[in-house]
Amino acid sequence: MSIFTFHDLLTHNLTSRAEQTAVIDGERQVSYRELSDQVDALSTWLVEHNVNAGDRVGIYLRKSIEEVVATIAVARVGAVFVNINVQWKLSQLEYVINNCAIKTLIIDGRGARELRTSNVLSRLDNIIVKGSSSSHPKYTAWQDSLAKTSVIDRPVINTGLAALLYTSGSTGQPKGVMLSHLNLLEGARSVAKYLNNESSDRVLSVLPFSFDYGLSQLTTMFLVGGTIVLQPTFMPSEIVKTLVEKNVTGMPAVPPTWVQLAQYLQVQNIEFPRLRYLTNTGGKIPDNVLELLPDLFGQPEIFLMYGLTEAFRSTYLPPDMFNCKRGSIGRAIPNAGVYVVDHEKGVCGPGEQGELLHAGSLVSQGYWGNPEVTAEKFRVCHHLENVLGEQKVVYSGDLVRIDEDGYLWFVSRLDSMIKCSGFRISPTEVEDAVSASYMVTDVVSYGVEDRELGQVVHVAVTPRDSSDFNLDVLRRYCQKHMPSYMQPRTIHVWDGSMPRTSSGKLDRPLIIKLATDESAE
Amino acid sequence: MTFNREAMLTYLSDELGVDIEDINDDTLLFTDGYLDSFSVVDLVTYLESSANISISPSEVNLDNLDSVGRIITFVDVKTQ
Repeated sequence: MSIFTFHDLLTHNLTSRAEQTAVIDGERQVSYRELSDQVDALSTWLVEHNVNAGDRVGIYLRKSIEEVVATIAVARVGAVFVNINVQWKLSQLEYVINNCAIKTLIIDGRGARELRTSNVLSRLDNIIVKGSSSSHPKYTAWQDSLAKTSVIDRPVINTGLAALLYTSGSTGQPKGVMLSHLNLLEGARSVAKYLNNESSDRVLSVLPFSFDYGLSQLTTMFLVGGTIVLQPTFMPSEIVKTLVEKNVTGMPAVPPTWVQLAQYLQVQNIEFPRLRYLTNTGGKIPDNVLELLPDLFGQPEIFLMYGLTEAFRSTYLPPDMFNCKRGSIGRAIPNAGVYVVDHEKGVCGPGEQGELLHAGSLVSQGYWGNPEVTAEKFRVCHHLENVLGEQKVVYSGDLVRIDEDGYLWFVSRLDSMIKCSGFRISPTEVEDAVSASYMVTDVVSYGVEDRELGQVVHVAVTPRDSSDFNLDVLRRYCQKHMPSYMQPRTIHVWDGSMPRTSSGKLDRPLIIKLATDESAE
Repeated sequence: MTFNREAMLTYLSDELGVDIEDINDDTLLFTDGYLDSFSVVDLVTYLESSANISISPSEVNLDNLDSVGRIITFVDVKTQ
């Protein structure tokens, strides 16, 4: 059958391999047929509870079979799945619910208990709860949402919206990147092609579905009829145990996980006879760790990748180039147009550097509810008009260099966006969260290089009342209200008011320089 | 520093932001998402210094660390 929509990724497997294992979740597993039955049941519930085509449905679940069922069922009824990282705290969940007007939420018991005290509860119509929670008129138990199945007549087309993936930019709060069914399918086709995925593959899913590359493990495996092996915890010993016990053939991760796994495997002697490949994305692995990976994992193929949520995936370094181009982000993935442009001189050639631009069918539909920022980030590049005409491209904000053989190397960001552990963080997001403590007046946040995490967040703050200011209280406030990767590793307490520019704005570059000089002393 | 249940609960609450009203000795801290990957290193460092023990990488697993009960048992065995 032809695969046009996200739901087709599941159903095309029912003709030839319905009994094949689709998802392994610890001791539980489901076949494609069992998964499809659950998806049909949940889709029925969604239709009966007035979830219409285009409605956003929030999914705030730990990695589980239920998260897979929920994601596909939402797409099945033409609604838009919004998977929210479970590392996010209640305040980020509330932000997403408000930002894209979520009316239906699927959540675990712990989240449901927290939500009872939140004022967003009044904005939601229906909440499906997986796991125990006290009852509430709006709450439906997961099991009850699967109680019956009826035929669903709800046509879905491939240019329709399928997903919002929330990610940050250089300013402001996280934005929902709008992906169509076509974006997700073309992404899966491209990635599965260069990874040579097939139905015998078992791929580890340790990255969240709220992250484009995490979602790609699901789409690529279902495209080829393989098996996705869920790994909800990041501990190196647990990841290694799953790789061995579940005969995993492909392992995708981000740099901090490789650093920790390498440390762990250097003192263990573990073999991975079934592991065929590793993939990295979300930043650069430190070279002294990267060079160890082939030996530690039994000489698998290693694919180094680069992508941005706005265009799903962009480049990869083929494994046969690993030794001679180690650390490069490679070249365009199949069916993606990747260009390097110097905005004054035009398209770059070997030896030159410029901004990476991405064109083609993986380019997303922009940011939810934010046409101004969409217009800035997605636009026509006049240097490319002879190739692309009036087609819009995504401006990555990443400066890359082309080497003499045409391979790309990441150089730096062109803006102040912070990237920690593969997560994008805007300084404004951190500053707003810290300001919400009402303990500070001025706040400036910035990224500081970190070997393991890429960058970590630091902030400089001016206390609102210096006689009553307690740094520990501010740190605890951040722990409670911000996801771990966003929490400042260092808080510089500024003595007196911060320097300002002639127009009265905070002089950010100077403040950052003074704060970093101080910590270097 | 000394290691005991009360001190550890204070640590989980004050340093790792766990709502200790919402957990008991059997609550799965990592599996159910009360703690995330960033907290592992901090927790291990805390246990090593407060209980004066050394924890090897292979001991950093869910069997030993996923709940308050498991952590107490693990530290008890290590200090015997």
